[in-house]
Amino acid sequence: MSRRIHVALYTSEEKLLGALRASRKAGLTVLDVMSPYPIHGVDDLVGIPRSRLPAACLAGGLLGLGLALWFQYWTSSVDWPIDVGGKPWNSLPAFAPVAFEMTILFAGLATIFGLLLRSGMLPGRSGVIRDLRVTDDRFALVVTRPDAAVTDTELAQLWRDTGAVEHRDIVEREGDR
Amino acid sequence: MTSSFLRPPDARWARSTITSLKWVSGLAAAIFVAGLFIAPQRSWSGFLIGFMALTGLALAGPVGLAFLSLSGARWSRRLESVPRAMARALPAAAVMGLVLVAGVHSLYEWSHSAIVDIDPILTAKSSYLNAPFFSVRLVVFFTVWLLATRALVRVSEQSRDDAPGDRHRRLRTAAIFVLLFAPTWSLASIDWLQSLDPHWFSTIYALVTLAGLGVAGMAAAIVLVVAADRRGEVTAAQYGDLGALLMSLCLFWGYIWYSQYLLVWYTNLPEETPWYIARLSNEWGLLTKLSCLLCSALPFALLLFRRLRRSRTALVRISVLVLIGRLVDLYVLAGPPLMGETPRAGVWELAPVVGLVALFFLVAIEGLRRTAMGATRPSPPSVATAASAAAPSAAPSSAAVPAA
Repeated sequence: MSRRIHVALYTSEEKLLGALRASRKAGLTVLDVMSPYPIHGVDDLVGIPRSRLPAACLAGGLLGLGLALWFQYWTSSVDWPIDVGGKPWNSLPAFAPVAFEMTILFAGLATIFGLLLRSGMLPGRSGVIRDLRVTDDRFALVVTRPDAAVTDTELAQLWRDTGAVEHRDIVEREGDR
Repeated sequence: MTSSFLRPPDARWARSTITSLKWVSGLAAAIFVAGLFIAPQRSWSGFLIGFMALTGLALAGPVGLAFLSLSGARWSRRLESVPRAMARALPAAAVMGLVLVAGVHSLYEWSHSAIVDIDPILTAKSSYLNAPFFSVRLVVFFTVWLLATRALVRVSEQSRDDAPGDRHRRLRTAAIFVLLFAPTWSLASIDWLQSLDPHWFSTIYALVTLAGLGVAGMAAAIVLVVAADRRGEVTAAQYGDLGALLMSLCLFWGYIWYSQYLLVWYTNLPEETPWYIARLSNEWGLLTKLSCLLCSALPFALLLFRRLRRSRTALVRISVLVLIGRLVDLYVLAGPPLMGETPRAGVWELAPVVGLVALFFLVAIEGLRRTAMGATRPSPPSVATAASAAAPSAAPSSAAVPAA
């Protein structure tokens, strides 16, 4: 199965955002937006559902907290108890700094690895860049027509109205993405 | 794009709130004056706690402005009338500081020569800790804060985002403010709170009080933003940002509290532990735990939820919890040397605290009404309004950020 996707290039953030709104209004499905820098609030406009990464972050943080507390308890009161300044072997206040750091470390690592896994950015993989100039000074909008509701002329009109400097159609086969 | 400042709060609401706050603070002032004759020591204890709360909340205005300017924050420009309104309480705090000078003998052990003379440590400290020098320092602190705050507020009122000269001026004024504020606040918190226990010292004490100032100031700012935003102009995303700032300050408060506690617990030195023993035994221990819960643990846990962070009602409730927590915190910091082993919170202690907090909100809401109105009128002081009206889309990158 294949589908036709359309890529339009713009010269500024404002034009891209305008085109994004216009194409959603016209009934096109927005697949992706590419820009040289992150655009504030663009994920809401594209309609990307809320990220579930915070759950990975929380799980990682709790795991780090638990591991750090357990390991310190085990070393200082089970495996090799040492009397430090007459403190009890199992001294929770002394464990807190390491537990705090480990919580943050594990939460951070869980988030970044969760992101890499979920987006498929693993070693040896490269992302699909529709036009190399989006890494420099162009803004790309990638859309598809859900059920050919928008005709070719309407689409061309849309690109013209929104100020696209260039546009092109790509036929994408399954497995290309 | 709407005007660059929050619009004034609903006039009827503001008027009735100000009237009731006036009644509360007037009544509290009457009780305080009566208390000076009936129970002077207890009234002064309450006054000191209320004075610290009022000063901290008032200073949180310019401190917030300075940090937002230094970090180059643009998201908060529209909300800056709120910290400016908070700063308006600073002159009132200065007047209360002058009142505090009259209470030195009821509050501070080091002001009694009979005690100082037989105590070698206090004798050694007496060239710094004495009533005249204490008063001079107090006047110096407030003079510096008032002048620096005035400069900061003026720059905030007049500057525009898109003018590079304005940005530079904001940055420079904020940097100077922070450089002046850091040492004066350190010395002031040692003078007013730490010297209640004149034998004890902690090198991190100013940070402990600064964290309290930050967390309470942010909570008060959120309450004021919601009060001013009765038409729902502030977006959920902006509330989310305010909530995230409050959350990080709650974490900071807990971090600093624990940093001081951990070192004292760990070294276990006889000259350091009494301060904590007094605050962790009896009912004081419960109050200490309550302050940690309300200033740090509970709001932090609640604000982790995005839904609560972005909801104005939830944010206000959490902020009120934090403000109560901060009052408990101040009560525990100041209480033990003044009240002994059992905390006392009768009408003499509570009236000045309630009165001075009411005074803060009274001045701030009044200020919000004025500054916000001044900004929408095209009259002389509104350089910024006139200029932005002349060039509505001079800053495309900031103007085009979608309102979500």
